Amino acid sequence: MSAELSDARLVERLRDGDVEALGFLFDRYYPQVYRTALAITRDSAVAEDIAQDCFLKLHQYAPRIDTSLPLTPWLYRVTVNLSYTWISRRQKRRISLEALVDQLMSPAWSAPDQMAERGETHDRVWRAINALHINQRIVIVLHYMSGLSLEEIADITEIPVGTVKSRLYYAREKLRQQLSEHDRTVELAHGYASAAG
Amino acid sequence: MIAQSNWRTDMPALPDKALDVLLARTLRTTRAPCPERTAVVRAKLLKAASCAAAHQQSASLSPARPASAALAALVCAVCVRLTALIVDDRCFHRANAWLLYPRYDLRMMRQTLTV
Repeated sequence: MSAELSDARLVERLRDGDVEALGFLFDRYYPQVYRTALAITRDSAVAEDIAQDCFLKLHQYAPRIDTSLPLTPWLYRVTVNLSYTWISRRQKRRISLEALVDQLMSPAWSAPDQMAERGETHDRVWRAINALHINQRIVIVLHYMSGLSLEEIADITEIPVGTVKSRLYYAREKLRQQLSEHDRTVELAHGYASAAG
Repeated sequence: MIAQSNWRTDMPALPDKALDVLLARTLRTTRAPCPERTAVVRAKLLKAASCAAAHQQSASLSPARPASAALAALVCAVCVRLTALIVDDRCFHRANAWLLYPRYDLRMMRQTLTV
């Protein structure tokens, strides 16, 4: 039944006090919200809390949501804002989550030698992404993980498209500079690019 | 003296396309939530939402409760967050941070609400 109902209809039902509608929206969008929060914060427990908060806000603000517009950008916006708040607070407390990166990485590679090599490269890439300023990291995650356009990112983050473009440019240059220092990363990237045609 | 050729210096270290593919592949390894935790989060979310709905209703009906809609909404927001924290064992200790509303007996609420 949930698959047949549009987001707008479910939000309307939520407004009318139908809590089950929240469950259907949760089933539809939780993985997306969770992965976005996880990619930004790199902490699975925090990502879970952020995703939960996001749906609580959906419940709380359902009466104010414009159902003529798609729901996904609203969910991304709340997720990004909650992640931003968490990162800002963490930075103030100066808590490093660097050690968690290794735990979070579990790519399913075929050969053990490739697994070690690619795992190391991906760790390196994640570390470089984590070292970005939070504003740049958010743009990188939304663009490369969620596959959003510059216009969509501008809408979600409520900044001009030019600013998104600039953040993406400087983030890429910083990543390029850091990742180019490691030969194996460069070779692997070239391999990926060739395979992608 | 003839300079030694080095293929690495002859080409850009990470051309745009290679960087794009590397970033996309890496970011897309971000884990999906595990089904067990997803079920727990879903259950406590729905309990919290039901609690908020009930709370809102009682707030609007009982004269002992806050009369203004704004205050009632604030109470409900606190209630929802508190409930969500209490019903999850992992988060129970964090409920102490939410003792903004002393009328609740946290232990009793937890017993009632634990998923």
